[in-house]
Formats: sequence, C-alpha cells, structure tokens
Amino acid sequence: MSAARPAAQPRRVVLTGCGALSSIGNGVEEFTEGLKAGRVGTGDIGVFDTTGFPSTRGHQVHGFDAAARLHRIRPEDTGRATQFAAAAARMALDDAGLDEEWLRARRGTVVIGTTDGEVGELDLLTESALSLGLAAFTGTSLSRTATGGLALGVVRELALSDVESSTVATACAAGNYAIGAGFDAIRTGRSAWALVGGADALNRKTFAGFARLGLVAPDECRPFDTGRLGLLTGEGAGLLLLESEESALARGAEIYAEVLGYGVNCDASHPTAPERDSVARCIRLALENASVKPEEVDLISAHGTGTPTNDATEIAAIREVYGDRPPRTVGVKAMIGHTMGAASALGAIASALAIRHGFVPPTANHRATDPDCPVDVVPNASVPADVRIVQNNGLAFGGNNAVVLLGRHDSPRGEYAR
Amino acid sequence: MSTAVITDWSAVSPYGTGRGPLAAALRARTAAPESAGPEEWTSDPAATARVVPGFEVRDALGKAGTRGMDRITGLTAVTVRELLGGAGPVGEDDELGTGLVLGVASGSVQGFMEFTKASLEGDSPIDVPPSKTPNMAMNRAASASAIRHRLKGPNSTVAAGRLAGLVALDQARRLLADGRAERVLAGSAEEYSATRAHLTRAAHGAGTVLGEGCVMVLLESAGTATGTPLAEVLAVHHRVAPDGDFAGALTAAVGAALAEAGTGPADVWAAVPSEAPGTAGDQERRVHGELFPAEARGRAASVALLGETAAATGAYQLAALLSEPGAPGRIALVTAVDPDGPVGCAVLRLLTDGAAG
Repeated sequence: MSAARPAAQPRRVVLTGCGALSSIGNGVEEFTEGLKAGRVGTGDIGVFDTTGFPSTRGHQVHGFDAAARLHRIRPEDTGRATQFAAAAARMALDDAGLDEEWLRARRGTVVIGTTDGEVGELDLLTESALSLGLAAFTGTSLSRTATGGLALGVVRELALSDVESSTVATACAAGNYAIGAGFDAIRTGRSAWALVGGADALNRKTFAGFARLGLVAPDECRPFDTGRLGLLTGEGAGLLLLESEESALARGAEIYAEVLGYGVNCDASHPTAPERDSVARCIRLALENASVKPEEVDLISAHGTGTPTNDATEIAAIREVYGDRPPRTVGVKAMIGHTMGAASALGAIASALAIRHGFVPPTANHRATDPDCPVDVVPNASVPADVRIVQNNGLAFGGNNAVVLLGRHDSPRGEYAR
Repeated sequence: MSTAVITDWSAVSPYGTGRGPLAAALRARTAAPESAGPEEWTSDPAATARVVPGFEVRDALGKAGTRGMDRITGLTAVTVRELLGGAGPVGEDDELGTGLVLGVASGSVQGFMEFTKASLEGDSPIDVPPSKTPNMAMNRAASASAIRHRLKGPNSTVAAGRLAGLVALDQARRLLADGRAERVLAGSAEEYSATRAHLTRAAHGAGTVLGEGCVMVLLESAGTATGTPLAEVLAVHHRVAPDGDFAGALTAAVGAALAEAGTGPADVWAAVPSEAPGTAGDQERRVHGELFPAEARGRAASVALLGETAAATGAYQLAALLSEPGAPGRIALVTAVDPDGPVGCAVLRLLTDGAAG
C-alpha cells in the first residue's frame, strides 16, 4: 500500500464521482433529471407511523433496494441511514469509474455528515423497550445505534482498512463539513482520495421535534416565498468522490467540478436561529479560502429551508456580501425536502451538476417571492445557464455554518468541452 | 504539518470538577468511586457506575439557558468553562479565532430515547418537551459551549465511538495547520445513562462498569502559542481493522504515527492503551506487550480506573499523560481501539515535568 505523502504545494481537488439518494430519484442520472425537471418528491411518510401528526408529508426515498445495492454489509444488521451512506458511496465510486481495489491501494478519507445518525434505530429500540422492557437491548444494539457507524458502514461495504473515517454530527450543515474535511485531506496530500458527504433517514424523533417547534409546512416547502410556512423533513444521501486534479487527469477521469474551498464558523449566539452577520462572515471565509471574488459567483445553492426565519436571515447575509445584485439563489429543498445531514451534500452535488450540465435548478413550489428575500430564485422551472462558480450553503442548529465553493474545471475530458 | 501544542487542559470527571482532582487521582492510581446511577427511565437501582458525583446541569451552570439541557452538554460546557478559567476569548478577533472540536459516540442516547418515548406516549405525537428540542441536534454540547463563551471559530462535533478523543485531536490540529483557527478547544465527552448502560452491557458483558465525563485540551500552533506548552502533538493516525484483526491494524497505525513523529517504539517513555472491552482490548494489550517494554506500559495511569468511558476515553488518556511527572521531552503515546473496528494512535512529546495542576 502506498501512503499518501504530504504535498509540497497544495493540490487542487476535483469531484469525479457522485452518489445520490433522494425523494426525486436515486443515482446521479435520476437526480439530474429531477433537478432539471423541477420535480417535487413530496409524499406521505411511510418509514414510521405518522398517525396523529398534524402533517404527515415529507420526502422519502423510494425504490431503494438495500440488498441489491449493498454487496457486503447486511441490511438486516444495519440502520437505514448507514444503508443510505454505504449505497451512495458505492454509487459515487462507480460513477467515478473506480473500484474498491483502486481505493485499497491508497490511503483515503471517509467522512459522513449526519444530523441524526441512527436515531431511527433508537426510535425502534424505544418502542421495543416500552413493550419488552430491558430485553429490547441486545448484543448488537450498541453497534447499530452508534453514530460513527455511518462512516464505518461505508468502510465495511467497500472492505477498506487504510482509511481515516469519522462521522461529523454538526446537524444540518454536516454534509459541507464532511466535504471540507475531504478537501483538506486531499489538498494537503494526506489522502489520495476521499469519499465524503452526508446521510440521514426519516425518523420519528426529529419529525416530532420539528413539528413541535412549528417548523413543518402543511403542504409543500416554499423557500423564499411570501407564503412559506416551514420545512418538510426528508431523507437521503449525497456522497462525493474527491481526488487530486493530478490523479483525475492521470487516469482520464471526467471531472464534475473543482472544489475551490470552504469556510466554517459558529454564530455562538442562539441554539436554533441563524445570525445574519455570522452567516455573512462564513460566506466571506469560503470566498477567501477559494480565492473567489463575489462577482465571480454565478449561482448560490442556498440552505433555504422554507422557514420564515432561515430564509430572510440567509438572504440578508447573502446581500451583506454580494450587495444589491446577488447571483441567482435557489432552494433545492423545495424539491427534495430537508434531508438534514445530507442536505448540503446533495446541494453540493446539485451545484456540480449545474456546472457540468449548464443549467440552474429551480426553486420549486414558488408563488410569490417574499420582499424580504429579494433575489432571483429561478421559480419553478430550471433554466440553461453558463455556470462557472457555485456557492453551496449549509446552516445548522447551534449556529454551525459551512459554505463550500465549487468551480468549473477546464479538463479536456469534461462534458462542457465536447 | 506544523505541530500543535497543548497549552492547557481541564476536565469534569468522577473525581470532581476541574483538572486538579483528576490529575491527582490519576497520579495516585485511585480508582474512581462507584455509586448508583441517576434515577431515570429504565434505570436499574442495583447498577453501579462511576459517575461525576452529584452532577446536575442546572446546579453546575446556573438556570440561565440551561432548562432541559442534557447531561453530556452540561459536562462539556462545565469543562469548557473550567478550561477557559472564566475568561474566554477577549475581543472579536479572539472570538473568531477560537474553535472547538468535540468527540462523541452517539450523544445523549437517553435524551433521544426519552424524546421518542414522549412522542409515542403523549396524547398527541408532538407532545414532546419543548425545552428539550435543542438537544435533538447532536451538536448541542459543542454549540452550547460556543454560545456560552463566544467561541465563533470552527465548531465541530465528530462521532467516532472510542476513537472520538483522537479524531477530535486530529481535526483540531488540522484546523490550526490549515489556518482555519488560531486556537482550538479539543476533547471528548460521554454521559452516563441507564440506556447507555443497557446498550453497553448487552454488548460487552453484564459486569461492565460505565464511567463518564469530559476532558478538553487547549491546542495552539507551536509557533504562535500564547500559553506555556505542556505537550506537543507529533502525530495522529487512525484506520479500520478488517475482520476483527485489531492487532494487525493497530500495529500499522502505531507504526505510521511513530514514523510521522520521527521516532520509534524504543523512544516511547509511556504507552497508554484505551482498555477496550472484549477481544479488541485483548489484542490492544497484546500489541502494547509486543512493542513496548513493561516500564513504558506502566508509567502512566490506566483509564480502566474510570470504567468504560466510551467516547471520553481518548481524552482521559491524554489527561493520564499530562498528569504524569517526569523529565521534559518525554515521548508518549496513546492508542485507541473500538470494538466496531476503528483503531488509532497519537504521539506526544511531553514538555513539562507533569507536576503542575
């Protein structure tokens, strides 16, 4: 096995494989088509019993056959979020035109972001403990409820060993945190590849919590809309295969986008509400890290949850950085729901697809843009566009902000050049 | 990577609040006192635990902003308060430059399960306690600590089971090396709870005694540290054992970490294992036996004194090294093993005589 050597010069980091599971489609082709078509994946939640909840709608992953997707880890031994992470990792690997042997021959990084980890398994354990008592706790319960199991599921599924793995639990910004960790690992030469992103599964605990806070929309999620009434919880996974530009070019890989940089910071202000100045500061950190000027950004993939507070605060922060003419700013959560730890990872994949395929995904379910959110939200229908640089936002409870910048890479193998 | 130095540390442990009681007990090799666990859903009155005695979140932190706060958040926030000595960052530059990385296993399992229980048993499924909704997010301990002390730099929560302390230390030094923070509070935390006890005992044996607590170190870049360096973090390396071969993977991890540190097993003054339960722990001890002489293996306190502390283990191992008297310049290492597969090693150079604190 060849250990990656620290690079004398920072390496450029590129995205060469994507794996996506979402309410609008599984796999990067379906996900791309869904984004282009402005498809909305809302439906009744069937993962747990929603009897008695004021709203029973959400964004569930359908048509996911875990046994068919997974080669090594056994679905019956594994929680739904871990299954998602492992399946999406395999998709990203295939999409990159790589195999397990290639990964095993090089030191790598696996970082999976999540809000809930396997809280769905804890929900089941709770039900079981209420009916069975202490017999509910079995010898495998500790492993299958461990949050670190998400990253470990990816490692096990791909039979890896020379790999640093961790699960980042920075709530709804976790996907971007994971991408940032992979970016730094490749950039510094510590790892030759990184499988990074986020995964979460629908569960009762979080659904009840958001409903109790009054943050759940009755029908649809409408980011930046005058009539927006909240978010819809969702599930899914977004996994990205990152490698150095040198590695991708040497093997003739197609490159979706270059990861230009990222920023992370903390509001240190309020447990659940975002703070404008701090979000603006995080955007500036990302732009600075990526050596990108605000006027060079073509598109912002917003956090855009559809709650009154998030959207107004986020747009105010964007305008604080970009002035009166910010780039088009879209909220893909209207289509795929709030997929929690997967949200910014799926947002990053959507950003990369926009760059590679030359389109801007729409903000679906849109009726009238809120005067407090004065941006071009690209309502309801995607538009063709020359997209060179995209900013992807992730904001979380606890004031954990993370912003990633992606840019077009001038690879001769890239689709845009053909 | 330019090295990072530990310039301060603190803890909340079964020996009490702050670094003094923990350091003294580790130096004296005093086992943490056993007591009954707190009364809560599924608690077993006969179960013994090594808990932080009398720890109540609102007594420890005051009433403001602590209603419904879970135990792991309380333990972490008190540790951060102790580490910052009541001062915290001064001025906005300081605030923006101060990060926090916390290692956890699964956060407050008890809190999550009780929240779901309320949903299942309430008149309505949204009859969940509003004061506990901020606990829903597993990043609450790290973010609440940041709120209390205006730590506006990178703030991360990393879940990595018994590797959590090492992974947090590694992420913290990377934040410094990459210029993303000026100083980082890094450590790991675990709460005792009845449900965690059931989960752990079902997995690792009915006789397992659980511990809890939090240890945080203050990490700064060697070149710009304002505090007195207590130890230099020379290397951290972790990977995953395939198919139960903990010994093989750990040997490789120790080798990689020592190589990165530019040293070898013969130079190791003290080696501290993570005392993992079951075969993982047996193999970890075997590796230590093969690589290090008995003197090196016995020089620092064993974290077995604290019981099974899961995510907090790695940070307690650092505390064991930082507490141990000896000449400045000693090379020391900790290893971490998780029965689910991850293994790792951190190599430090201890820069003081260990008598402080």
